[in-house]
Amino acid sequence: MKHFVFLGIGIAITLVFFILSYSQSFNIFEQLYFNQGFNDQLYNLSMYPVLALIVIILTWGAAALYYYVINSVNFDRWYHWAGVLGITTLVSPIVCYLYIDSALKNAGLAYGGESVQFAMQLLLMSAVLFVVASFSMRWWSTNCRHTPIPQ
Amino acid sequence: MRLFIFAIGGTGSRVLKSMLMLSAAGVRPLDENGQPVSNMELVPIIIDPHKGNEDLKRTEAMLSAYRSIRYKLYGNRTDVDGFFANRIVTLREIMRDSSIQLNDTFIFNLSAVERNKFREFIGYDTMNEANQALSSLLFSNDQLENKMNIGFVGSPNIGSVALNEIKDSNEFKAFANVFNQGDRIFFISSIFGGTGAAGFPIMVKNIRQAANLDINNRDVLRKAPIGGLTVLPYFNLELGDDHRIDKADFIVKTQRALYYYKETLTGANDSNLNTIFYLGDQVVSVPYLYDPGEHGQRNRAHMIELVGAMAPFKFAGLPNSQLSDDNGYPLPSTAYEYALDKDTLNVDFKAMGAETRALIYSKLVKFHLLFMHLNTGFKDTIGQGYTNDKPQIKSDFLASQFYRTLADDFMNAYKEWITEMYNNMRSVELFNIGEWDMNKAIHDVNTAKSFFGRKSVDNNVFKSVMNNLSQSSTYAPDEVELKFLDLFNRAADKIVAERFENIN
Amino acid sequence: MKKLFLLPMVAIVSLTAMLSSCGGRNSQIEDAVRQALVQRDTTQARFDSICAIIKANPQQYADLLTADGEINYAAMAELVESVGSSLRPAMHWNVAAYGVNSLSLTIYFERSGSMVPYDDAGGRGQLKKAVNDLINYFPCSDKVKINIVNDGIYPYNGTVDSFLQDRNIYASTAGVGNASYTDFQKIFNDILEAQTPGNVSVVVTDLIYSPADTKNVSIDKIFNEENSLATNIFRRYKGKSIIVHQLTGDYNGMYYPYNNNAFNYTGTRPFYLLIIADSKVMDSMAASKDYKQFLTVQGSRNSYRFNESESSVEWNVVPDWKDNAGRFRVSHGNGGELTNVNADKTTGVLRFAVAANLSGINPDLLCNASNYTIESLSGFKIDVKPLNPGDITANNKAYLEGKTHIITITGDYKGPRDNIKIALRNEFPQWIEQSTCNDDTNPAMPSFATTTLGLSSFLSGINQAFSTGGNYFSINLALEN
Repeated sequence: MKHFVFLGIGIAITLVFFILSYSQSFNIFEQLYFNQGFNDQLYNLSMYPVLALIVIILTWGAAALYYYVINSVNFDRWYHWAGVLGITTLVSPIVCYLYIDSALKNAGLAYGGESVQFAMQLLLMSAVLFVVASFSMRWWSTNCRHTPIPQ
Repeated sequence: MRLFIFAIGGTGSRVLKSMLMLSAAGVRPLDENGQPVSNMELVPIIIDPHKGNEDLKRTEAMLSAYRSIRYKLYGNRTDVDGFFANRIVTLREIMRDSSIQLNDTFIFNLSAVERNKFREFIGYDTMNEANQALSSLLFSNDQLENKMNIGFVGSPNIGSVALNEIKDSNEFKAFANVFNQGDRIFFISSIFGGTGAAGFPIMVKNIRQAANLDINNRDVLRKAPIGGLTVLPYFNLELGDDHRIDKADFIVKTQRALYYYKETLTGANDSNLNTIFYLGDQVVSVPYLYDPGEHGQRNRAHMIELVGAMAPFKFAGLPNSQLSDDNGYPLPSTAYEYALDKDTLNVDFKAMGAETRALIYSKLVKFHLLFMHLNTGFKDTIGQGYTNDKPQIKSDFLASQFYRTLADDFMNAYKEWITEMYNNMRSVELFNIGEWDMNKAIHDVNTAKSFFGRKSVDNNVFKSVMNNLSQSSTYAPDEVELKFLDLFNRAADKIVAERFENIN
Repeated sequence: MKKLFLLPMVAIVSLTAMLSSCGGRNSQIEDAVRQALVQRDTTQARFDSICAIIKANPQQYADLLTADGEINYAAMAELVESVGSSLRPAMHWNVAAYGVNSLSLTIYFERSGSMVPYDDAGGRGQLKKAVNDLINYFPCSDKVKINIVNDGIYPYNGTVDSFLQDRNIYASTAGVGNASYTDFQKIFNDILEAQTPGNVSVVVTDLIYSPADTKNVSIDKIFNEENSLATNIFRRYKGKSIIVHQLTGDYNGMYYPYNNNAFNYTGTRPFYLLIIADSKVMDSMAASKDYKQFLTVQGSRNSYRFNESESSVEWNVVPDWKDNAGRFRVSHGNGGELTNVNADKTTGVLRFAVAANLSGINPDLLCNASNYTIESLSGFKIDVKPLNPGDITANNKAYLEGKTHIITITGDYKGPRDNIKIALRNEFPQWIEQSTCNDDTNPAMPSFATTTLGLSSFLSGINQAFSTGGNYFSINLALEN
């Protein structure tokens, strides 16, 4: 039961993240880094929800991969989990950066530096969402349910 | 059902030790339908005046270890499955009448016998001259001077006199007291030694003639199903100048004893003994060091003892109809013999018969894997996977009395046991001794084939399967020990079935 | 166990599904509009392609179509506005203007006694010329109707062509209605009543209020009556916009002053074209090149637009502007809020730019800061300049698109908050007063050629009906640290 509560909270947090990526007034992507022109373009081109989805899919996907596909006693230490966290935290902003960069170029805009800075904040978001995803789904993993910390 | 097992003499202790190993591995008596006999309790009673006997000491230490391990796992429950399944109790533990003074031990107190030389025991010095002459005729001077606390050193004539006193002991009274309808009695003895050869018929006689004794349950005892394992000579002694047990005597003594048994125990119309298991081997063992003295009788474990240990299980599983008639009176003797599937000097599981394999193969393999796991992988597992499920197995588990007893005391004894059997003749090579790779653990049995070659078995596989099982299992907070062994047992069941070749 | 393993996956999938199911009935159209806006492809071709989607699915988009299956420009304008306002900065696309191609024109030609001399054969015929221009420059020339008004509204019994070619329109319409008086109350009521959406009505008149039986009635009483009836009529019809053009025409004939002592007059006299339409239609026409000539009217001496409310001027703060000083953040969804505002650290000055589309407003007023009212705690000042195309960069293009002027706002902002209100004053024009006389009985007075009896009474009556608040537009900004 407790584990379903965790899953529920995790999904709720992720949904809130997703909804806040839509939001006009309090947009999750505009809290840590904001450059009016750049952010307005991301907003106008409807890129926020896509970015949110990329981050969600990558983090939840990585967590699912770790807990249910890798799911091995050879990789059940906290540092294995931390490794996946690290990789996800790096890959997710890179994917997002590539997406932003190509979309802005297609729109004829030049926001190179801003894109990189923007992607930096995704490091934190990806890390947080990976932790959220981990603590949502780890409980049913055969071999890694006690990773990174015992239940 | 309680099975009272009288293990007489050095051979009794050694067979009992093998039985203990099988029990630890989870081997349980099976009835004619192949189901475990329910409510089973084993009550071993060791009868050996030779208290310095190393085999007896080793067996007694292991009995204590077994008992404490099992109590921690299952408490007083019977009908459990897994390692240490058979409940093994002392007479004291099950005794209802507290007026009888008894030590909480598996060893029959022969204090009256032990203290004296034989001449003192029979009051030689107070006999009149005619009786002294008769005694001198029956017993050699050596035998009269024999101090009995080292046993009867291959002299059944002494044993028969001395052990006849047993019927008056507290132990015997206690035994008679707790014996109930439905319980059974089994004797383990050698036929060629002193203590066993003499003690066995005397004990049977005393039980069957319980009507004449001043004890409870006389009628029940009179009708009790009784079985016996008689071990024929199977070991050799190193030659020496001064020894009172002589290998050459073994054959003669055996021959005489068999005649005697036939007349008193196993005759066609004789229902003193319902079941007799004869066990012997023409291949003789690696010679044992002859040492009747204070350090003496520390003999290597032998295949005969392993096979013999299955006899009481077989007896416990026999249907009542084979033991008693419709009125509850014992039926005449049925004799059992044992044969290997292959007559080889290196006996592995494949050399054993199908019934034996069915009884012990998977259980012993699982126990051996446990032995390997405890030595190679378990410590590293703590703090991960299933050990973190509640109740948690923490690192202090390694320092617990239970773990020390299991991993050190019992497993060392186990290792000694399989090594000794391996180094003996016939060599028992169930497992590859000294091999720590689980894939190669079982002699001549490979891991199963898979799409990518052979399946592997290692500590990680165990960890993984145990993780899986633990997910759907619950244990009470004080069942840490049970959790570990139960998970391992179930994991091993699965792994043995799925990852090793099927040899049954 | 295997099922449980699927749970987190299901969660993600349902999340994705949620995204795809977002949006209302018109989401496809909204997306198309959004795309067009974001790509700055706000052309009629693009609009037509969107309309094609709507027309291809008439059932699905019934609310964007009129009853007869044509595009409902008003509904489309609303949809475009709602999409555009959700963008940053809010973007606008005057799609209603595309609807002007289906506008209709109704000319109301006043045929009172004092109108006849404007089209005298000897004069230069400015009045007829002005009306002909209106008809000729109206793009939908097949939707023109002509009516004669005096005591009532009577259809012109010729064709548009015959009207255009008619040398003496008063002669050919003689006997229509009662030319001896003009009942403004009835006429404007009827015109406004008859006006359908998409109709543009033009009243050609001398704007002299000549009710029946004014004998012995004081002139002030007539003016007050005129004023009241104007207010009364126009209050009843909401959302209208009126452009008054004052022109001058040659006049040769009898003039009937308020005391009915008619005299002959030869000279020039002012006359008026009142273009009446729904505000939105008027805005659309103002934004459309096709209607430029129609609305400006050749020969117009003075003009003034009456609007029910201030014009809604498109404007937004330009975050990426060369002259900006200090820092701020434009709060989204409400372009008038600046948060995280900090003046420049070294100078203490806050300067930021607002880009606005002021194309519909008299350009003479725009660049003179003294025409504006500026209210703020910090004493902000403004500077208004036309937008120079050289100032547009890739990154600020979005904020400058469609804008005509840059309003630079400068002040010593110390915080923590301030409200800036900038308004371009819309004062009742001087020329109306100057073109008004209280006595038209003496043609010898020099002002007789340029003034109209009681003009301001009537027009101020309209003005009161619309109660504009006195501004063309206003911009409100809320600043906070």
